[in-house]
Amino acid sequence: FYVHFSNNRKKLIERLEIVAQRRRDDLSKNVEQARKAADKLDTQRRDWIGSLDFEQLRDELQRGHVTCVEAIRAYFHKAILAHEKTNAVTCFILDAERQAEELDEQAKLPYYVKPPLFGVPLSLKECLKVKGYDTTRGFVQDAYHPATEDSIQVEHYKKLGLIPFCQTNVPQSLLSYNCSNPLFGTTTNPYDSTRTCGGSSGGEGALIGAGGSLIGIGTDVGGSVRIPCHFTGTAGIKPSKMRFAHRGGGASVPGKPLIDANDGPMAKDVKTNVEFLRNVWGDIDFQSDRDPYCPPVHWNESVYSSEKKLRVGYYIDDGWFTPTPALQRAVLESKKHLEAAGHTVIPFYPPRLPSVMQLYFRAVCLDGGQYVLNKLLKDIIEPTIRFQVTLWMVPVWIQRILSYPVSLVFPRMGMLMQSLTRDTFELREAYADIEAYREEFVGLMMKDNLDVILCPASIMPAPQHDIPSKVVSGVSYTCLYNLLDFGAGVVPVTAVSKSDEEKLINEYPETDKWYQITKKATLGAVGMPIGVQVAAPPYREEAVLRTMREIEIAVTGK
Amino acid sequence: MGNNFWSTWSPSQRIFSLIWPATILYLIMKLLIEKMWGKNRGAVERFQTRREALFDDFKSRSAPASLVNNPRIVKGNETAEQIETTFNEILKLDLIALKSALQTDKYNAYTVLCAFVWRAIDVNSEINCITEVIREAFNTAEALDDNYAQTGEKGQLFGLPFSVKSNFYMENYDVTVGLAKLLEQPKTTTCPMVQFLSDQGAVPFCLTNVPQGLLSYVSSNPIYGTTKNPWDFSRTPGGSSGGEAALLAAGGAAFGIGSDLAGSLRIPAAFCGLVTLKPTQDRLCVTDTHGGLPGRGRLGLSFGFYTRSVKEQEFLLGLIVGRSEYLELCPMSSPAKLEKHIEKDQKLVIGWFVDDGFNPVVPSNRRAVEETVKSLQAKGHQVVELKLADVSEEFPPFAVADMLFRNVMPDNGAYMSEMYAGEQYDEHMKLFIRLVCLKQNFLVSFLLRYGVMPFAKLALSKRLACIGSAYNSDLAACRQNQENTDSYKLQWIRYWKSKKIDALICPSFITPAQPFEYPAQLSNGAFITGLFNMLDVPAGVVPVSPVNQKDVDQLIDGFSTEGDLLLKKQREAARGTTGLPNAVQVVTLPNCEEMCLRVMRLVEESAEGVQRLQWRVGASAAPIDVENTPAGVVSSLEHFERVNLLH
Repeated sequence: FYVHFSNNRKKLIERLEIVAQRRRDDLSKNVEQARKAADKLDTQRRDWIGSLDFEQLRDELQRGHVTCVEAIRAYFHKAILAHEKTNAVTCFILDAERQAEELDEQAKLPYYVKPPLFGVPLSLKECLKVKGYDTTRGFVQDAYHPATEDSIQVEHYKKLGLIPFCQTNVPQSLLSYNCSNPLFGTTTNPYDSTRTCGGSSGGEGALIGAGGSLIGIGTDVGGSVRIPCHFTGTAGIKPSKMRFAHRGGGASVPGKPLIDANDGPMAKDVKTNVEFLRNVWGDIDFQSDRDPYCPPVHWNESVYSSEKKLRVGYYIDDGWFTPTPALQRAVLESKKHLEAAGHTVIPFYPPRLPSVMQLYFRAVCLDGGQYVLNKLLKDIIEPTIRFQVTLWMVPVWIQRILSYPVSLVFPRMGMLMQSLTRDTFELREAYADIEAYREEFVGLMMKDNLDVILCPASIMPAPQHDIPSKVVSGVSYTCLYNLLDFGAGVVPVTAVSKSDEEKLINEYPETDKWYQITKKATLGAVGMPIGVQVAAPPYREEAVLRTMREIEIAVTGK
Repeated sequence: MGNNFWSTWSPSQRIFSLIWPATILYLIMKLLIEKMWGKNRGAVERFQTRREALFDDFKSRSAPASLVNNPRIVKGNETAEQIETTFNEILKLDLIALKSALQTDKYNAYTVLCAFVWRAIDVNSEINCITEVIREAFNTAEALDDNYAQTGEKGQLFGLPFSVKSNFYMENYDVTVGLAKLLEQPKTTTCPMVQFLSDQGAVPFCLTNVPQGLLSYVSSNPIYGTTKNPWDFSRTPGGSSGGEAALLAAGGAAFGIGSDLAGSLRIPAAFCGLVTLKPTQDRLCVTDTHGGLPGRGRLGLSFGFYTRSVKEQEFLLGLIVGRSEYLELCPMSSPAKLEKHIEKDQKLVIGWFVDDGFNPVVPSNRRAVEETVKSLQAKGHQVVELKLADVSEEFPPFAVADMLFRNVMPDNGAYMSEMYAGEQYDEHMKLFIRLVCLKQNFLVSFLLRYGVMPFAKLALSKRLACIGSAYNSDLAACRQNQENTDSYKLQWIRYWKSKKIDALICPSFITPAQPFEYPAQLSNGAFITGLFNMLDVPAGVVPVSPVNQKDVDQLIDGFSTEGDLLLKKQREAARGTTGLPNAVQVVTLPNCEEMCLRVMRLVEESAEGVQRLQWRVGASAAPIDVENTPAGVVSSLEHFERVNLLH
């Protein structure tokens, strides 16, 4: 049987390699076409447009000093540079130039009113559907299956005047926080090419971090917007799931309730995120009309602009995975910034994180990982996640049995080995426990009258590419807020320092394999960006953004 | 010789010979009792004692005779007759009028509470809708009046007594949902919905009955007993909010609250002649309740109100949905207020169906829809007939029903089985509970799915086979079912928009109120209500023209059973329903509660002959035709008269 299986698999892989190679060749051609388009723009003009920030470019476009076509060509150029550095792009949307030309023509009409984000280039994570372009999620088997329509959100962005101009890379299956797949290869961190940009919106993070886009859209199911922002020194937010329409989404595991993916904007700074969301949520009826499940909850300016001082709960260690010293320092520095601004910051302890991790994995891999595993076994398996796939291939009951002896030596690993769902009874139990945990967590916040939570964005700065699949449990700081369905964002605060490295060597625990791997991966990370995470209950994203913005102002001065 | 034998024993031998059989007998009796009540027998007895004591206390505190010269009673407190007259005046008012009277100082909170408690105690002694009274109610009313005297401030719901469905948490009260093992575990939190209403000045004064475990539409359980429908004492008020609906229909509360997981708000509203609306799940998010099915799959669990009119429903929902005071209590609720504006004279496109493709409804419920649609058409609205089979080629109605039942029990009933373990089964739910428990045995479930159900499909009932075959064999099947549900929801929205309809009118249930023994046999009825929980869309119920004799006569040749066992049961259940409330269901797109209320109001305005119950004061006005009236209706008419509603 094994011989038969491996022979079949070899043939399958050979066929897939041909497809993958063809796709990579197409990407090369695509990049060349984008380069030609970019070269139509005068170098000096291009560089000037490229130096504008989001607000400046938007204003110049509104005044007509910059045309849409010029903006698109400038960002084709910048994205190509970023792509050459990080391999972030999977496809340039060449149709963007035509869309830009159309907008420029319309702008000449006397009665035309420019939409608020007229002509601004927008990059999209590859799993967001754009008509005529692929949504592969890093699977070769899904290549050359273009979407037949835009998702509601992409439709909405176009209506607001934004022009999607490229798609960005993702990890295979979207369920890792690195950014490699057999189709497009590995996307690197703009600060250090030996390190990952994060995932699953890693291409987006790398592109923006390398200056190739002003604003992009990622999706987040376990930290997939926030971890890339933290690793690449950018800012982004994952809203609660009800604030965007979901029809036409490309879920990695269809049918899972409670842990829903949601889109989130990513940008160089918080200010850009705010401007983007103010316009999108100010016009949310567009999405509600098309997807009635999206409630018509508009942007709440009074919460964002409020002068009322906030009550902030903070923690630096969630009790499951101690972050490396740089991340703890980032939280403490942010705490100081907020206190200096007059806010009250008090300690907060997220309850029972170990069992939360179990619940999270049970809900995300609600069928014990079978759906994803079946899909991976019909595809070329990305080397960096082979370790993770190997674990998934072990039957759940064997994992359970082995978890008992492992618990004696490595308690956390033992607990995680019990995380995959065994049967429908356990699945129902997990759903019930998640709902109960949500009530409990919100109850604790209400008891202390907290507006937002401040905490580390992850467990470590950007590691090497193969580390994420070996430290799967490292998503605890971000996946908690997916389980709760909170709005949660990340804002860059500092960078790893020499003294952080010394503390790492001297003080960081080595009690189990995960800590050892984390410690080793963090060596040599001096200079890598560090962000902090801010979270709040559903429909309070404006409070999150306000807090993030105040931290940003305190850190950057603008 | 026998006598001699016994007399030769020593006294110690005689004692010993008695001890052994006595011990055996004791052990046998103990086993039997524990099997009946488990370890919770003592708790049940203590609870029953406490319950009766509190009922007696409330009865005496609200009795007009004991309130003579009580300074808190307004509009004359010198004689019991004066007080009774005041009470009866209060109890005749609808919610809006009562609110107005309280706001303008015509009555105070204490007097109104006494009036409702007085009536509720009498009502309860007839139909058993209340599980326990809330001890603090009189103190709450006094505090409200005192606070008003000091500050001059009144909340919007000042002084309005309301009942609380007993699965809502209240601090210091048990939430047993009819399970003895949950007794003597008082809650430490209060449900935010109850808290909000209390903060607005309303007075919660009692908890109401529910089915054992909340998983049926007969409100009956071993701890509190069976709740009767005030329209016909031999029939159920529905469930799981059956006690709540029965009390309000009988005039024992100003309004009621409930939850809806597969029809738990709407079925009682249809059976008792009330108005209710199940919102989209997150439109009104409520925590600190016993959900009945924690960890359910793709089913929207919603909360709402019971009222007598649509206007009252609009008022209460408008007060709570999206309000900042409520969001402070329950941050996860949607901040979108009920304020979408719809032109008053706008002509709407109304979709309708009477056949959901899975289970036909009896003639009375069919006529309700047809008449409603006809009158809306006469008012100029466009009507479009829908066929559920057209929504999706991929999922015909029976497949959707299978999807629904698998979402109700993602674990194939393991949780339910565990919940009922060690409990005495309610007599009206025994059949259902036993089937669920049996299903847990692997061999039994295997034989059931591959042996019994194919046979049942051919020989007994297609619908029974569909219910019995609904099974998530493993995690992959469960995930696939949830993916299918998501896909069906998208197709529903697409179909809806392709027809360009604003709202849908369909039957509220498969029958009017049923006798107690039928709900356990007719789980198939839950499809027409549960479908809209699976889709998570707003669904309201509005009473329309009552069941008439012609409807009942037509059960013979106007309702084909197709040789289906369940349809035969359905026909039996609908016999003798002349005069009972009849209703339609109004459905809209998610987050479009405003449109739903608008259409509900249109339906209400077009309905004819709708009645409500009023407690009989004094002697019966007209003799009851005992010969031709069902016994349950006779019992009802001895205590309630049926009054025509005026709009």
